[in-house]
Amino acid sequence: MKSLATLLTLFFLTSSAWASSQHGIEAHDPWVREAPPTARVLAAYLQLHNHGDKMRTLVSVESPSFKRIELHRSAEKDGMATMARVMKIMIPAHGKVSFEPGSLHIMLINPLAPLKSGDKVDLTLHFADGSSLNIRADVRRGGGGTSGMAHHHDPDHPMGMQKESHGDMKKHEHDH
Amino acid sequence: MPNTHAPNPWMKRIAVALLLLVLGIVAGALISRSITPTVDSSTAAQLQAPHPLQPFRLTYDGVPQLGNDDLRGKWSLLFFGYTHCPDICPATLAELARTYELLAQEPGVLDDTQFIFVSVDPARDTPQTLAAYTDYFNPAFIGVTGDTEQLTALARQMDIQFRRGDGSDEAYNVDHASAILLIDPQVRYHARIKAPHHAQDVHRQFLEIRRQYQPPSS
Repeated sequence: MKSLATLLTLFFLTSSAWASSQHGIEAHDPWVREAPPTARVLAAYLQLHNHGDKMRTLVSVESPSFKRIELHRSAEKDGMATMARVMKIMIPAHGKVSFEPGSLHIMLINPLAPLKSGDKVDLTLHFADGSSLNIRADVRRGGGGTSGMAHHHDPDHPMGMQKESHGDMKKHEHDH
Repeated sequence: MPNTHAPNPWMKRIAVALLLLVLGIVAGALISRSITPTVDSSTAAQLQAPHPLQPFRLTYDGVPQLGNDDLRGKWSLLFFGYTHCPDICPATLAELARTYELLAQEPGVLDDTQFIFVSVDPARDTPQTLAAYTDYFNPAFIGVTGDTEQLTALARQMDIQFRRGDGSDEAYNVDHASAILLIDPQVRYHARIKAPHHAQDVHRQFLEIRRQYQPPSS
């Protein structure tokens, strides 16, 4: 029994390491800011690490929980809060891109059902090379952190690390 | 052969100059510190002279939403935004909700303080959606809007700008001033608290401004 567990652990470690080295993109700490139940637009944040030797380009995101998803960047300039759509996001080889409050975010438009803290949101990130990454984000109440300060870390939910999977999209156990 | 250990007159002059420079910097720092207002100027700018808000009126479908009289006798923290804003607006309102909680520990302060979210997007934000929106952050928060002309007339008085940004049909963005505006009980635009906002700072600055406030002697 113990050896089976070890074997499984080994298998998991090697397969995820393989996925990482093969495709190179890792998502850390994906989360969605809980919003008022009537909110038509929400935001998701995460860090994308590219461990590969090639630059990767995020071009779109989809989710079964939202009608439409866009990439946006908020900015603060001359006392004005602005937000602009971003058509693609380049993640340099061996670099990382952070989606965080007050800056880059995944804009989730028209939720099919209200979401609250504790819910999960499945997101599929599509890259320019045709690959994709399935991730599951936690919905949680976010503080301000408009300066990008990450005081949204919840000790009960340590930094998640989700790795890329190719080919058939994993169907998650439950839908919302 | 000149003695290399003898003090070089140039070195001496440079040393004196350096000493004077350091003294100057220290003195400058001390002076600027003593003239810095008690309110942290890095994040808040207290106006030199609070100026009265000219009569304004926000209505939605003819129903009054907000006017000068609603601000009289209370401190009002105003924030302009819109509910289709997923990032800056909820973050700021969350900080204001935390500010409210901090102020709740100060006896009597909340009795004459109100938090008002002014939507600059009346095409999508109705009083109903605004009520539900602000209620989520704090049931005491007030959400109002008006037509674009009324909003502009109010916003202009506090040097607040807003304009439709990019995006098509129902998914457009609205660019808006990010500051929190403080209106005093005499309905005067009293201070501007600039972004980024953190509850502790807003709380501290607001209390400091209240302490310095001179109520009208009548």
